[in-house]
Amino acid sequence: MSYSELSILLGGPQGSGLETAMLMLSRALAYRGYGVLADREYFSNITGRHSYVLIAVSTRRLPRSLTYPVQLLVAMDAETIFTHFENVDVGSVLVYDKEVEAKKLTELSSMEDALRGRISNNLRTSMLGDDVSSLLKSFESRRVTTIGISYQEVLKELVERFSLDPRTLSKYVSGIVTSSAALILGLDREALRYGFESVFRGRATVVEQNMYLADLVWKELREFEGLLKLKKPEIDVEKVLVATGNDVVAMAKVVSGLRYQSYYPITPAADESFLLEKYELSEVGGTIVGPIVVLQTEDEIAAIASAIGASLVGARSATATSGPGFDLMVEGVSWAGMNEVPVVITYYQRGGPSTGLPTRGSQSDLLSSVFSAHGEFAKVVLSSGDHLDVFYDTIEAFNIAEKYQVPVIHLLDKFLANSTATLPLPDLNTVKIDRGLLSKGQEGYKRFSLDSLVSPRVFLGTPGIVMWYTGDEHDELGHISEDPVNRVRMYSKRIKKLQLIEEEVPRDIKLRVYGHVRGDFCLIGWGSVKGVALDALEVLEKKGYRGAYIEVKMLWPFPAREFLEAIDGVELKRLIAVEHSYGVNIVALISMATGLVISKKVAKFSGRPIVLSELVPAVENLLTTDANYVVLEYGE
Amino acid sequence: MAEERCRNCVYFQPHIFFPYIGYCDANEKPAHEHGTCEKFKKVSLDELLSALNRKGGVYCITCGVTIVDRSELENHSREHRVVAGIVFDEAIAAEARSAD
Ligand SMILES: [Zn+2]
Repeated sequence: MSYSELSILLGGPQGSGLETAMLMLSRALAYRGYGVLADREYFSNITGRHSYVLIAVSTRRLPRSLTYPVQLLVAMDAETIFTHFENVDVGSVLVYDKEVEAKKLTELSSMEDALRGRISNNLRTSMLGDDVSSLLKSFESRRVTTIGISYQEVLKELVERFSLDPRTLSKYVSGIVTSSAALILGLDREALRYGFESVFRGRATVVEQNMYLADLVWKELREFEGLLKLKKPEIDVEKVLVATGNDVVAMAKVVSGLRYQSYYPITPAADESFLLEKYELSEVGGTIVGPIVVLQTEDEIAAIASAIGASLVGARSATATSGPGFDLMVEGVSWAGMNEVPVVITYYQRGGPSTGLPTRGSQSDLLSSVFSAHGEFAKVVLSSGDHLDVFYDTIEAFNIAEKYQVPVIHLLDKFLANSTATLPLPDLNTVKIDRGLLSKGQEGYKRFSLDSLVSPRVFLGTPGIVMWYTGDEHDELGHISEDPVNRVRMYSKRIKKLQLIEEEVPRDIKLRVYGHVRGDFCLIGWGSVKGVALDALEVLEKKGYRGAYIEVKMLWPFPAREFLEAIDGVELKRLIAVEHSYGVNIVALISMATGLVISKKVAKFSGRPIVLSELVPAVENLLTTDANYVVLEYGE
Repeated sequence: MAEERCRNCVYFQPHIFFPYIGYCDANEKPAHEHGTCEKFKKVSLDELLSALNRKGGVYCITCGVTIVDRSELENHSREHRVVAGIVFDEAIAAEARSAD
């Protein structure tokens, strides 16, 4: 039997090579033409806690969503088996470390007591013992093939043969995970080698040692080769990138001509800045272009302030952060609004309030970003639905910022930031850089000229040109002024740019419609909901419900006209809003902008991503019962 | 009396997640918990106490925690596997994000 789509879960202690395994397997699969989407779930800053990667693999397309149950579970430790034994499908495959068979639930020191209690209850209800071997027996009734391999034996042989430094053990544990998964999926040796080579670039010895290890594993597990054989890939994409959302933002910023990026390290934003640091200087055709200055500041206040400063002197300028950091930046955002400074804030939402769930995802900062900062002024909040959109939207964020001289918040989240996807190469021919109205200035230059809503911009430091910037209200030159007549004109100028933005930004940047709007239902969402919503449309169509997904991309100014056009003729009760939050707050924004009150909502705020297998029944429930609010909770 | 294997030797520093493999301080090379050699020195409470005094901390493999005082050490060492030193994996820095 062979498969066209599979869900895979890899689990183990954080810091033991799980991420390396995910990358190697993803790249090996991509090399052979398969589509991959992998979400990484991990604890904040606590080494050794249970991490896992949920992967969707497809032979037919680049996957857009994740789903349970999984058909392949590769467990580095006992905790993975206990935590995920209910996530595995009938007829699935479990690869585990033989040495953990005797481990008991009570012996897992890194597991949170709440989870241990839940698992313990489940085991009792199912009349199962509390050790791994009891679980393994219970898998038999679900026709799960359990494949034990002694990690210890394999590693021992490797350590002895190559006298390995034990500090590097994770590189080989990840090799066991990757090669056993590859064998079961029917991947060949060359693809596996590509996976190793692409991750251990420039370290030929590590690659060879991993190939030696793979041979050991393959010899040991030979009888299971191709047990979950993937069908021949038929994805019509010649080349793909394998990248995380963080990576894609960094790449797009380089393409956009970014010259300054500030950051204070914070999950899940920091990886973007770390990647940009690697490309501060880039060589293109023999010449060094750049530099991009990437500066780690002392805090987020300095991050936004320095990004504003860089922008004033003419650099394409950005900063990246998540909720707690953005809260600190808010005064700076207001200053940027007052002084009409183009600056981009890449905002990766995570679970709040406060430090909340630092490494888990959410979309709960919609309203706090839209309504951030005191006073009234024009700002733009833009969202992206998937990795490829993230690329184009990052560039668009700079264009909008500079064209209208406003701060732009590019509102992303942990799910996009930390998930690894195969995506088509972005089409650079369609990318345009618009730096807006620039001027060399002249005698008596008025930085805030009231002749037009957007005043021609001269960079600070241009010889012979003087301008003034202040947080206080100011006149056309920038001098402080409390004159009421000036105040009214200057205040209005800044706010009226919102109308200009609403009129001029192309529809496709504001809102997109997928599927049949005048069918049985219409999902409404934004950001990382896109993939799972689009997949849900397909599944629901097969079940007899025709539907649409309306993706609101520009969240502020809210595209009320386009939204009303999109849902024209659709009964209110057929609209269902979906969001990773408690309040499904897009509903409040829609209501404010259009007067429509959407009552049907699907919410998830456990910090885990919405998966297809839970969204489909939730929508069915809303369509067939009186229920108005469904909370999704699946996933550990 | 415990077997004279690396696992029970004070010089053996196990890997934090895969404690059957580690580093031998006496021979200054990687080792496996089933290994043997003439430098074997049985791990004991006294040895652990001396390591605690010398280094400021020892490690309980069973609980996955660092032990920094004597009474804690006495508690853990009664039934747990406590070691004088531990090998941290390079991947820890890469996979444990700054997450405040
Ligand atoms: Zn202990």
